[in-house]
Amino acid sequence: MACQACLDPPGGHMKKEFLMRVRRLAAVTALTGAALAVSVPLASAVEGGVVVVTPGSAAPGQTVKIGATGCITTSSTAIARAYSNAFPTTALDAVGSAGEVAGSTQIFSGAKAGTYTVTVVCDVNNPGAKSTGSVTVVTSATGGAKTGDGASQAFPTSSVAGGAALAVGSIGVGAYALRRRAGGRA
Amino acid sequence: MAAPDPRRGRPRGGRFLFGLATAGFLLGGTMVYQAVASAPAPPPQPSSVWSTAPASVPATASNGSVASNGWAAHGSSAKPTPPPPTPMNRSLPVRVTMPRIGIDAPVSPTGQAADGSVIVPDEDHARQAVWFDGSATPGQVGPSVLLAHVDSWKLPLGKAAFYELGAARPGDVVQVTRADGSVAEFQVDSATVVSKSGFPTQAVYGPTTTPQLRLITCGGGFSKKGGYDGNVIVYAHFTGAGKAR
Repeated sequence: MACQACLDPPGGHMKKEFLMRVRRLAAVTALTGAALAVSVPLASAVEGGVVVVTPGSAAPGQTVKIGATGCITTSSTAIARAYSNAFPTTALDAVGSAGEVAGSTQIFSGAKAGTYTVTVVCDVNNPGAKSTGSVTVVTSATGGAKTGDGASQAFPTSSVAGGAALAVGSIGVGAYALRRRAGGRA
Repeated sequence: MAAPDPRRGRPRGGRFLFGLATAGFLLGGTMVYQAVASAPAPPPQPSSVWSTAPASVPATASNGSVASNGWAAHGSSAKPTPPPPTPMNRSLPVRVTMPRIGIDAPVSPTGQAADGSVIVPDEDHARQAVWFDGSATPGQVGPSVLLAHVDSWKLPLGKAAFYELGAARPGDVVQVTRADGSVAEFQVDSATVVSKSGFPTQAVYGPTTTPQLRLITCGGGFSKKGGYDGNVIVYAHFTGAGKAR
């Protein structure tokens, strides 16, 4: 049991987790949506469900999962699809009977970093019913950063040495002056 | 009869010499004191205690409860774990602060040089931090990467924007103000120092399932010839939207 937590979960487990996240997010959104509907009655009458892309940040070329809720349709021939500028149009399959659809796709390998809208249409024959989410494409830089010139590493050796030499030399000169004075009195 | 001349001359010359010597001694002493008092100190480096934390942990740790519970989370017997903070929308960072160690720097976006490395500010702008525009914005799902200089000849005592970064400890709070006025808050998971050849590209820039923050500056050993031989990397996870300023 303990190992399930530390290992990368296998496919089935991953799917459960993923669906759970979709459901939870859907619940949260339903709540906020209800709150919004009270204050702003005109807002988003068309948007039915929630779209979740996992992971929410992805590198170009990476495979991501897309899940959506609210795709309850009476048509048995409904075809759900996900659209985005970050990946090619992707067909989504119904998962269970609660109006969830899911599928996986690959981020364009040439995708630029940024946040892309993901639109899920529950039935392509009825494109009015759609929901939106987003995915953030992140890219990698190479290697470490050159972020220092060593200014804080520079001990002022020359100043210290110069000052010390001046002080020591002065002691010598002072001693010489004293001796000369003493010698002069003698 | 020539005796009085040198007698009279000697004490005067001796006094002059002695005065000169005293002045020289004071001047020399002051020079040494000034130089040592205003000498730049090498920047703090992460303690090995914090450095041992594997870099990849923070990315999955905050999601761990979800992964291990699976369906069980639906049951009423599941222990109440605080829900992960809701990620924020996209908005570019404009300021980064770490109150405990005294980091406070403006942030501007930056891209990549031809060799693929992140472009950092020049020495005249070493008080500024940069946000790598290939990374997520702070608070968004994904790794958000901020970089800044550790030191610069153009600044007093050589201290640049991220001079104190190496003193970061797990639990430290990082606040990032964003262009929309909101503040994304993070908590430090680990502070590490890595060699430039062993830079953990995937841990720093790789996609994550939750909002993450990485702060980078120069660190490790220093030589006049090769400069800094490594980087200090601080990993932090998102704790929620803070109070807007």
